[in-house]
Order: sequence, then C-alpha cells, then structure tokens
Amino acid sequence: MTAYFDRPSPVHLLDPRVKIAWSVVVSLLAVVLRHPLLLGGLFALTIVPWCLVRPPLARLRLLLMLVGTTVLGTMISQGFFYGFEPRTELLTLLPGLSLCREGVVYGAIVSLRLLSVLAAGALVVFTTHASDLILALTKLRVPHSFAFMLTLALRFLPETIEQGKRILAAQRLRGAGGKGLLSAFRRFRLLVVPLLAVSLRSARQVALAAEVRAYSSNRVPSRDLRFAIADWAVMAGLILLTAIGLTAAVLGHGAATAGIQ
Amino acid sequence: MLFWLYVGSVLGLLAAIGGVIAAGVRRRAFQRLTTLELATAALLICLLHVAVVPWQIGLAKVPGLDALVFSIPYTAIFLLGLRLVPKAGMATLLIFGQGLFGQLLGRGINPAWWPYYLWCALAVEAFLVVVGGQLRSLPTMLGAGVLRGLIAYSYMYLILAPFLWRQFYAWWYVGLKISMGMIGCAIGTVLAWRLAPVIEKATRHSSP
Repeated sequence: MTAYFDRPSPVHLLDPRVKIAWSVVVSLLAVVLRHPLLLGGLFALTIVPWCLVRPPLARLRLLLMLVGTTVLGTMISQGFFYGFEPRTELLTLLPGLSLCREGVVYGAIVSLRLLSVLAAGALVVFTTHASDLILALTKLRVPHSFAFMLTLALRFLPETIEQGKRILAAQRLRGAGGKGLLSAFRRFRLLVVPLLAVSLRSARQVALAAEVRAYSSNRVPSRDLRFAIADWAVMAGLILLTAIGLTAAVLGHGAATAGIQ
Repeated sequence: MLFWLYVGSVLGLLAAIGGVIAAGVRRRAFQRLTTLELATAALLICLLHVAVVPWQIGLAKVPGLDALVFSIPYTAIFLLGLRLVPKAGMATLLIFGQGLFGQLLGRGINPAWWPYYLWCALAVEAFLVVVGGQLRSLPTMLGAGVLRGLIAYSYMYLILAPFLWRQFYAWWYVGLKISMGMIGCAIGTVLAWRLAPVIEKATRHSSP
C-alpha cells in the first residue's frame, strides 16, 4: 500500500527533511538543465543513493516498471503528438497521426528529466515511513490540522480498501457484476454509496475519539527530528549541487535540445 | 524563457489566492473546520486516492480517453465531498490534500506539482465564493466540476507540460485531452448529483 521498506541503509538513517530537500533540488535542476548530457548526469546522480539502499527485488521490479512505462510512454506520446517541424515519419497509423523520429528522440531526452525527478522522489517515499514524512512536513511549518488530516487519511487507507473489497464481494454474491465500461460504472455507483456511508461512520468515531482525548492543534509531537552530522554534510552537498546546476543553467550550457527552444 | 513563464504562472497563482481570500473574508465565507470535518476530509482524500485505482487498466491506457476515464470517479467523489462539508477551503483541502497524499504514498514529494493542485482548487474556491458556497443544484455542480476539469487539463497541457517538463504536444491533441477531461468531469458531476441526496440521507441517519 505504501512504497516504504525497512532496511538499515545510510539513506534510511537520514533526516526526512534532508531527503525532501534532495527531491526539491533534483526537481529544480531537472527543470533548469536542458542539455541531454547534463540531464543524463543528473539522472546518474539520482541512481547513486539507490545503490546504497539496495531495494528488495519486488520494489526494484516496481521501480523498473515505473521507469519503463515513463520512458516508453513519453517516447510514444512525443513521437505521435510532437508538434514541431521537421518531422521524419516512421510509421503512419491514421491520416495525420504518425510516429516521427524527432518526437521519439525528443521523448527520450524529456524522459531523462522525468526519470531524475521520479528516482529522487521515489527514494524519499521508499526509504522514509509515511508518518515520518508527515512529521517532517509539520517541522517544515505545514499547518498541524493539515498534517493531522494526512495522518488520518493514512489510517483510513487500508480500512477503506478492505471495506470496498467486502462490499464488492457481497454485491458479486448477489449477482451484480458484468464486464465492460458501462458495467464498471454501474459497479462504481453501487459501491460508492455503502462505502461512503460506512466510511463516514468510521470517520465520526475517529473524530469523536480525538475530541474525547482533547485533541487540539497545539499538541506537541511525541517524537522529534534532529539533524545529525551526516544530515548537515548531505545538506552542504545539496547546496553545492544546486549552485553548480544553477551556474551551468545561467551560463547557458546546452542551449537547446531538438532545436525548438 | 519557458521556465520563467511557469514562474509567472506561480506568481499569478499567489496573487489569485490573495484575491480569493480577500473576497472570502469580505463575504465572511471562512469558518473553522471541526475535528469531524477534518476526519471527513481525510476520508475523502483517501477515497479520491482509491477511486482512480480500478480504472488504471483497459480504456484508461488509451491516450486521450484516459482523461475521460479518470475524471469521472475523481469528480464524483470530489463533489460529493463538497456537498458533505460545504465550507470555504474544503476544495483546497481535498485537491491539495489528495495530491500531497499521493506524493507521500508513492510518487515522491515534488513541489513543482503543488501549483497545479492549487490552481485547480483555487478555481473551484473562487466559483464557490461567486455562487454563495453551496452546490445544491445541478447547474452549480456542473459549473464547479467542469471548471475544475478545464483548469486541471489546461494547466497540465498548456503550462506544466511545455513550460516545466518541456513536453510539447500538437494543438489538436491538447484540445482533445481538455475536451475529454471536461466531458469526464461533467459525467462525474451528474453521478455526484444523483448520489448526493442518498449519501446525505445515509450520513444524517447514521450514528457513531
């Protein structure tokens, strides 16, 4: 349900705020850098912490599937719907709808940008428990009531999925079913009313329990986050990386890709 | 240059947020959310996250049609949420909350997406301020639902994709995506309009 996996790696031990900063820095650089080589370098850099983490095979498979679909999807969509000239047609599906070489190449370059962001973002959620991320967001001045709501949403997720499965199974036993899009929407309509009714009752219980325990937005979290030496070192590295990346962007390295900017 | 256009859209967003907050304060639209309303919002965020999961196969993989297929359940749950907790700020909590929740669970924290969520939320909030904060009739619900679809897909394909990720699409494809998204939102709205009275009744008569 969540992407997190537990492992005693140096990346797991880092403060969640440092990992969020890593994701932000990579997102920023992915946007400002334009040359394919620089984007390739950025992507290679995002792979380094993954080598330290050594994710389990199932997670790695999931990650590779995400990478594969991102690259393929971007190359195909840019190949077909690329709106610039010149266009060298490779395959024509319909009149006016053809796969062009420039679009495929451009899609591959854009994929590097998307993959860097994906690899950095996935590292955060794969190596940090969701509750720690919410704690980090609270420390980063996200309003407490908002963080409380996200924590509750995390708590509701398994329960909601379980309830949904139970309702669907009960309806299937009563003969509701069928295949195709129309029947899928009919099932959705049949599912949503009981699911919402049951889930809202559960939300009421949770809210009541919170009120009874004197929940207030001024509460002090039971755990705290503190920067260790490794966190400071990584933060310094990130500042340096941002400075180098921004300088490269300002100096105009890699002014254009595919001649369209 | 393209990046700065994106930055301009973010600055425009901040100005628009200020405008909507000012209009809301003038109309006394802001009320504090109770713990029950926060819990309901949390549940709705969770449902918004789950609602699109069963549709991630089949027709949703066809470029163009995906916008239609994903918009229907999302809009239905979103508008049901606004009917259940009709307060200023609820649309922002649901849209931004669901976006951040999805990022926390799997996509990874990425602030570059946050303006996208906020633009969608802001459009609905502004619409709610204009119509008086209530979504009781089908035309007002359609207005909110279709407006969210228009803003979401326009921002995605006209600003976010070209200016931030530098993905360029043919105009006809962008038009197709936006139209499909809006049609999906309209269908989702009709679904929410039909289901809302039943759910409101079920909620009124249920005890904790």
